[in-house]
Amino acid sequence: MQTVISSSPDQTKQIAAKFAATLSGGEVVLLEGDMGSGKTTFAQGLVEALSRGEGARSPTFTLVNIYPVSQDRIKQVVHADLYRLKSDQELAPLALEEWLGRKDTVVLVEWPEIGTSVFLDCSPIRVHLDATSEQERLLTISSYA
Amino acid sequence: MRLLGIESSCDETALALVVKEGERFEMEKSVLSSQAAMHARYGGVVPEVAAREHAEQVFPLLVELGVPCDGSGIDVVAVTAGPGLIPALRIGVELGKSLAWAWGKPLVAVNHLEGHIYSVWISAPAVLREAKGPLKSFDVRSEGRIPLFPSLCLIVSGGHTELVLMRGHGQYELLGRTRDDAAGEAFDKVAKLLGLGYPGGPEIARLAQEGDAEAIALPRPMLESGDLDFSFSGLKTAVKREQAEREQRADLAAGFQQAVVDVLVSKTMKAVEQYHPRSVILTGGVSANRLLRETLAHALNARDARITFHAPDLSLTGDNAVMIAAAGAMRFEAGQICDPLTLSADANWALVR
Repeated sequence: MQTVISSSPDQTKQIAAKFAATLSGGEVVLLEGDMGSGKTTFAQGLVEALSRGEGARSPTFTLVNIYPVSQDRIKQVVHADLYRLKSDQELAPLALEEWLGRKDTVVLVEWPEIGTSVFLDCSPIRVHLDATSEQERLLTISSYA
Repeated sequence: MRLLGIESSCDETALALVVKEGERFEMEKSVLSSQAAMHARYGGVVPEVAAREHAEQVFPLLVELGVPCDGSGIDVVAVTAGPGLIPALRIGVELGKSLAWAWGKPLVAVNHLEGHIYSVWISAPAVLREAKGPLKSFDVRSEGRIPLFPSLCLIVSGGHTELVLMRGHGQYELLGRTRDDAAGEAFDKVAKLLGLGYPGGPEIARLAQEGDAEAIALPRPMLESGDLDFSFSGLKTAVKREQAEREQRADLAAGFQQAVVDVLVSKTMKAVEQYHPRSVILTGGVSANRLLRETLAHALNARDARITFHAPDLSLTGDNAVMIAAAGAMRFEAGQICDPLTLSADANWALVR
């Protein structure tokens, strides 16, 4: 388990970029934290680091955004947001299972709680964001054991 | 030209018959089975529920619309092919393909955002406007006039916040967009924070009437960013922070609404200065917001009264199939016809590639 403190959205993005550099494809990253804790900011930092340019936007409406990545190993980041889902039965139409565990894909899930049972099979990495003050965020990165 | 429009990209199943006359469109009939009531129970759009409802509603709606089963009298089938929720989109796309193939009629794929833009070319039947009562006086659409090119379009909805320059029919240039949350999404999430219902826009606007927009200082994100992009994620966080310390929900609603409107109008006016459009189009679900319409109309009028301002009839601000048929007519005239055997829905179809 690793904890790190961010004192600004920019720093959260930098932490996410560093984290992105440790990924090699096939990972499932669960982004946990309250509304406004910086989940989308972290996702933006991660996607920008991998895709070298294109920024991530909130997938709350579209539920799943797919960003192409031109790396040797990682070819896309699948950015999902389960905020609106009310049961794991509603996961099926998102067709996330087509991406989970694929070696050329990083799956990033905001508000993952509803689908935890599905993601547990993929040995997910858990990134928990906690707003400790107005600007400060405590990030905890751990495996989901 | 008479078109059948089909829209099912999110929480609305909609079909419409539209006749194109000259440069304008007349809505012949529009049916939509709003699922807002159902989604209100869940606090948001639920894709699985949405898709199932679309499938169940398509055929009763076709019957209600009065479409003859051989398709006689219909010249073109226009369907939303993206962007949106893929399970919901597929229902409409497959319906459009089936009908066009069986009838031997041309099929046109329409971008949902393009549909919203074309909603200001539509004349809604007088009866619909009269039905709105007190809101009638507030129809700021340039009555009887169509937008002039170049047109600057501000598209604001639950999934989108984009400034698009339109130099001609079907010619779009992306000037700016949200970097995180869409404006309508911010309304929905702040409504949830304040314990209000879904969709959040009307609920916040209602509560805001009782509040003082200047009572609580909220940020105006990206106002000085130097570009035409937006960001609403931080505003949502600011409301949450203020809410922890205060109990004046109405003041928070009013302050939040004012902040969103200030940012949207300010960026639009910056784009007006840079691109000198002859018309400005405000469209999408959030364009129903009265404060936004009035503030933008006044800002434009103060800057240059020659710029015409267009917003859809209030019956057409939300998702509907009339606008899809209108945009479809333009695509058909540009020769952009699809193969009904191979068209597929594209959840991430960007208006500007």
